[in-house]
Amino acid sequence: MNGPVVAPPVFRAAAATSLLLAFLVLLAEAQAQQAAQIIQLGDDNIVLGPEAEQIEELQKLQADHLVDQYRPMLEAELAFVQRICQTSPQQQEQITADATKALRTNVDAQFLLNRQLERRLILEQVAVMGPAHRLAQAISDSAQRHLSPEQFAVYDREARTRQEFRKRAIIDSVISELDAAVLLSLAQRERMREALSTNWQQDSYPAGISLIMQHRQRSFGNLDLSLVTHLLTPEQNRVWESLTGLHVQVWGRPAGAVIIDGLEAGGAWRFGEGQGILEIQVQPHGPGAEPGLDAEPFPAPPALAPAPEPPVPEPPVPEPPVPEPPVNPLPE
Amino acid sequence: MTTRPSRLQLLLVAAMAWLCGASSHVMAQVVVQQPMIQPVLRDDLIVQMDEDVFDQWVFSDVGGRAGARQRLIQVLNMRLNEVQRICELSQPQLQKLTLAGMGDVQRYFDSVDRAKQMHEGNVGRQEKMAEVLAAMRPLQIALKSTTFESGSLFHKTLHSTLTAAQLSSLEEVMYARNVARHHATIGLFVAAIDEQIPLDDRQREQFLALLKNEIPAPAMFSEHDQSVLLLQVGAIAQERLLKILDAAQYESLKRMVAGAEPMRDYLKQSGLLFNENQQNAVPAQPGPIRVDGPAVP
Repeated sequence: MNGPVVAPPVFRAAAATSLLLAFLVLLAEAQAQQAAQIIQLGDDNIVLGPEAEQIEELQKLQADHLVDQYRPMLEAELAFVQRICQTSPQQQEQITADATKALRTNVDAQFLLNRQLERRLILEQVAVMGPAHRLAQAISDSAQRHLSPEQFAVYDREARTRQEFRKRAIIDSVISELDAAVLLSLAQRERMREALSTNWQQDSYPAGISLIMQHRQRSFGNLDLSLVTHLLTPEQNRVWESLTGLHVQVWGRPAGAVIIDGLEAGGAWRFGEGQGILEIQVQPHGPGAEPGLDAEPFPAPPALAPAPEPPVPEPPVPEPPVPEPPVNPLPE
Repeated sequence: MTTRPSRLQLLLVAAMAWLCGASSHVMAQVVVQQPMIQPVLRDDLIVQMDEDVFDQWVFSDVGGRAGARQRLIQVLNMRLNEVQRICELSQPQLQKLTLAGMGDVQRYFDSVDRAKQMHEGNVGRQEKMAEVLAAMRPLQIALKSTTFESGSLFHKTLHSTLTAAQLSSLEEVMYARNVARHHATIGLFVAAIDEQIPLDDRQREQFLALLKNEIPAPAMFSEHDQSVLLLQVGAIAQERLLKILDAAQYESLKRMVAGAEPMRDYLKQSGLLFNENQQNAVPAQPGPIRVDGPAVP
């Protein structure tokens, strides 16, 4: 038969209807999944639908709990203001009132954020401003309003040195982690320190330091790592890339075995015993999965070229991704 | 005879492709962002440990056995380059070190295979799997950082091949690296304390200096460094801390230290806490090239 094949009208109608139905089903599924919430209550995960009242009640309880958690931090910050600025009772009362209000606001915001992030990458939280940071900011704002200029000057000086210390600590930590991973030279370390310090922003690493300490080996907040990774040699870059694969952590429960539906077949999961953290690596690294690397376990020792000097630091220019070259199991 | 598809067919194919694309987009969101994958507790879980499962678990961070091999070779390359940069190796030295490093890679996979054989066919629930996970732990640590460290062929060959001057230069660099990392960890720790117990500038610097003086570098760094350091701060004499902190700050610090106490046994068992005898502390001066963790058995 020559010419176009034309489906009978009934088939066309059926196909169009199927498409429409498939689209509607997908849409409904997506909406249902968005609406579904899982809230941990005691030891149980309770799946809630759109029952708003229950959700609101639980949210309020959890927010209250968060306020209680941050109260010692609030009291410590207020005591600090009192100690270094010798505040009058009235000043202290005003700052306390402002800070308490700010705490509640911040906790509500934090709680909302946690709800949004709780099933997302835990490391994203590292890029989100921590409550301590926001609380200190609120107290600083209040201090400016209620303290005398002399008192505020003292407070401001201390706050600045504190920020400077924090910045220095984070940069040192980032560099030492990179150093441990890819063996930096002294010159590289110095260039990296300068690059990070010069380009430091207030929100470069806004999370609480405790969170940073837990994740510092693989999470670097909002820092623009291209500022430093372009200073690495090709060998260092390859190792660095292999160390910074995508990891996902899902908060789970410590007891029992944990299965992630649909992923257990991949087997790429493990659970932290007693910690309630399930860590999944979503994607195996592409180049590493190439066959043939086991083919030659003992290659002959080749000549080793001296490590090229890291390039002179320049403003990083975004480059298109370069395809991974064939893996050479021999030292270059 | 050729049959050209009609426009309707093309449209249908395009629409199906679009739907498939939309569907995989939704699934991608499921994995990375949204809660469609939910941890489900199954007490009746039975895991059969076979060759594939073992490899998947051990090498989950690097994309399988081939990825592990690639990682080790990259690390070896990097180390050889560093030694070359610092020590200006001769060709025979370089060849010996390369062979030794490749021997370590082979030894690593041999040890993985031995562990695999021990646990192959293991069927069990969580307790049984905990044993398997414990056996995997040193293999995973070795893959991350320790394959070419103390006890390795590479490490021994460094000592037997380099001249005294070369070795001394290398030790200095490695010592400085370890101390810098330890000091960076302490700096971060003081900043973390400062978030909970605000310190003034003078207190902060004094506290930092005290900790750098008193606390030796650990054998290994980990995500538990904050707990390790808290427990070590807890071992510093009260009067020394009270010279820096006021009474309220000291009480807050004590509460933080108490909060880390439940971790003590775990940290000791994991080799992360050595403050009782400080055997794994960094020596005061550069010495033999240090261990960065347990060597592969």
